[in-house]
Amino acid sequence: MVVMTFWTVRNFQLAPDFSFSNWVTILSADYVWDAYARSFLGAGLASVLVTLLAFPCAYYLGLKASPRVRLIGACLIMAPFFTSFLVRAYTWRTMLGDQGVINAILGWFGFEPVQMINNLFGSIIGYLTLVMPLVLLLQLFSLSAIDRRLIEAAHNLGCGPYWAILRVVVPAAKTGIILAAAFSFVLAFGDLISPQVLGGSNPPTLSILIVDQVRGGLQWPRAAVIAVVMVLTLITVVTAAMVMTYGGNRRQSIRGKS
Amino acid sequence: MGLFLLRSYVVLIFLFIFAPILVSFVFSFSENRFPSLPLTEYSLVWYQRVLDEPAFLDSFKRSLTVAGWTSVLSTCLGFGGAYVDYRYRFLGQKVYVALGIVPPMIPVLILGVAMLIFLSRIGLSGAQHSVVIAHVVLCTPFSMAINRLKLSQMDQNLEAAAWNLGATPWATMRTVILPFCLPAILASFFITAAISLDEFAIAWFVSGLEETLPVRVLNLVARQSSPSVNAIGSFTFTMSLTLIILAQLVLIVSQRRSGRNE
Amino acid sequence: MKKIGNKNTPPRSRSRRKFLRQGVAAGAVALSAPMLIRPAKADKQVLNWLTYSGHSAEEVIGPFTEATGIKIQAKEYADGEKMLALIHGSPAGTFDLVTSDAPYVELLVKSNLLQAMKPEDYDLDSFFPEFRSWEQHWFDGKLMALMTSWGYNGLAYNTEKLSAADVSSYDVMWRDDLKGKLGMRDWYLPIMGCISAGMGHKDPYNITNEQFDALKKRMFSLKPNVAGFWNFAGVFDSLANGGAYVIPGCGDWIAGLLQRANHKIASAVPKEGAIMWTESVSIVRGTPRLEQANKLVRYLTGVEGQTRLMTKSSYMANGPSRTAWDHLAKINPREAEMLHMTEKEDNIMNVLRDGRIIPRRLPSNQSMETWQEAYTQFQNL
Repeated sequence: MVVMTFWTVRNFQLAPDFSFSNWVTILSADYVWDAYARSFLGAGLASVLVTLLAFPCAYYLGLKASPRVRLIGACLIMAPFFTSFLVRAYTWRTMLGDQGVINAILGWFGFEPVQMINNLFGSIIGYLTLVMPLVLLLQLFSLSAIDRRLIEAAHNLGCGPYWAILRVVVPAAKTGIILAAAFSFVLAFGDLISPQVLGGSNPPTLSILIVDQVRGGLQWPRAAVIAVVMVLTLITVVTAAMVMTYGGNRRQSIRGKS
Repeated sequence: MGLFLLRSYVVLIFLFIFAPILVSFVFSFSENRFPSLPLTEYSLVWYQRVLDEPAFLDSFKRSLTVAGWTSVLSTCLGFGGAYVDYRYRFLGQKVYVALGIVPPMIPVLILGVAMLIFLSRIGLSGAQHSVVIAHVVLCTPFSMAINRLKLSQMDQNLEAAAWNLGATPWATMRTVILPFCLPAILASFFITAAISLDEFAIAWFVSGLEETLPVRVLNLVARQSSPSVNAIGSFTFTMSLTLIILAQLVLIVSQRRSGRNE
Repeated sequence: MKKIGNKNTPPRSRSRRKFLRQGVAAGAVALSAPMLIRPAKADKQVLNWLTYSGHSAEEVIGPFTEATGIKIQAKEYADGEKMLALIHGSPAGTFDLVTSDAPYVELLVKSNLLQAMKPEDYDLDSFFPEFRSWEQHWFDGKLMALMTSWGYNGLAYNTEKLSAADVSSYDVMWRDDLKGKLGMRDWYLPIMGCISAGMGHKDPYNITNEQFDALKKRMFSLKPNVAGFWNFAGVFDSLANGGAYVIPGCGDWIAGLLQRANHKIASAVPKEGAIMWTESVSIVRGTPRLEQANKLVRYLTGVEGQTRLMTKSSYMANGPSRTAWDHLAKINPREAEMLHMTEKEDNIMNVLRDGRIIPRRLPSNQSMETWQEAYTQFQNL
């Protein structure tokens, strides 16, 4: 089915013509590569940030909190899934604007208004809003599966709390953490709403270019070329993430045997 | 002290998650056509507006139906797919997995048009079930990944032990694997339902005249900038939160009861 | 206990077959579910209408349904290109009517999707003379669409930061004190049209390659002032919340709504001229509900429908109907004023007749892609 969808997209042209000119046009345009770099860095930054920001929270809920608190926490994490991301993004826009809530609060303390939308900061806030609940949930999921005796053992062996986290908890939850980060990269890389609504398309990312290619002369084939480039990139990134996880596991199991 | 800091941090993260929801909740009660500060008079006009449109309830019901079917089907397919990948080694397994994860990576605009063309070629476009099909394709990879994660946490010997004890594959599945994967199955159920409930770009193309709620919300927010969406959002959010709390209460009560029985 | 075996692997093919069978069963359940598939709607009293966002709201079509008993099932869109993709991708007979921008009418006619309309079926006498035979709607002597709304795209501005004299020319956009306060729409056609008009091109979309290169240069020099590129909601929000003081490619249809909500926003037709937008309704070829479709067209071009289209809450609009113009001035003078639909000297019809509102066209000497590419480069600077 997936193959089929691709096939139809590539052949959906106003004049059925099979040439490489679309590929050449897109791949030789410098703005495409600028947008590519921007999308990649934005999504990468977002997935690194969200992983780091979410981890302590998931750690607390997964390993420190009582089962009751954990359950409530998990339910609270799921709650935003039931509100539209589009609405949340537009609300952020109003909140972060020059006359928004945040700048009003900063104003009380005598700060000048800070520009927080129509730039990378805005996009990143959007990405974080998009992926934070999912990442929290996945991290919580893999952290709560850890055998707590492992951590106790580490403590008993004289491991400080931070060492225990780094040497025991993180490796044990590695699959989940990397999976969550990969998810957030995939979602942020393809997200149109954050860079458009909060980033002001200034400058554009690949997902915005796709929309613009269609707008400018119904260039579905050229848009499809960008889409193929995006899919190939994401497959590479996800494969790399999988190799990181499973490759690591293999090494571990060898160490376990020796 | 460390724990206190950690707790405050958790609160901070939750604040980040809930800030836009709470603010849109506040805006939904403000009369102002374009949400801005300072807040104007308190008013229920946007709720009134939403309830006055007969199409709103239709699209809401439709979305629930679509999300229900999508979550059930993609969780089944996702679990099946994950299990096949976990249990068997076969030729082209990498391709199989790669194909399985591709749909969410395709930009939605392209996926939407492709789905429209594909579905209308086989005569299934333009209705609720088309959205279900499109959403199953989109959601299954998420379900597959979550289930695969859980399966990889399972002790490989568990299944073999069950077979050794004479359980048929089906009984093993039922009594060993499914219970072990239950949290993952539930999580994937929720996540796929959530994705489906929030997806508008593909649904716009394939739903034809049977619009789902997110498609309506898209129309209202992106083109008309109407605060009705805050009312819709608050409405659905309150409802889902109520459901979650109810589920919690049921869970807690049943735990207490079973605790007493023990 | 059942029999004890020593199987370490389950029979592979069987369970895989089982898996397949379950999948097929699940699929069958899904497809046969009565909740999901309903019989195709052959109802004569339901019209399927593909139109812009906000047109099918109760406030616009409520009286029509009440009077005729015909229900409207609408599919609303925001981008003409998506509309084209949808109508091409959907099976024939999905839609009865389609509302689109004049240049898209041409594309729909080229794809042979529209039905010719009979002018005598409608009350064209109620229209202003220039709209009775609007050249963008006639193809080989046949009427393919009727205008329902129009408006202009000039400059929208914050009246607390800029004066009417400031925005009398597009040159204001280059002012140094507007750094970071100039907004842009995310669509190249109106914006580039405005800049082209601002350079003195009487026919902004019909320019030579040299003029186009100059246009690019002039546009690129705007970049330091640009705050962002926004869709409708972004434009509204930025004007309302001070994110931008001036935005080209906007008109009364945006400023009117903001004025209604007491924001200090107005719009102007600069002396170099503004770009016109139009919305026209057409009947899809082969509709089995021709009679009902005609009723809707008559409603939309009649007094009641026109007045409601002009003042709808999604975005305001001027209309082609003289009768509705007079009617609105009577029932709602404030909104008529916002739309410049008065008997004053500077009313919008006079501006149009002056040639200061220029119909939007597709670029004629360069391809659409070339224009879009220039706009993308502008965004990317």
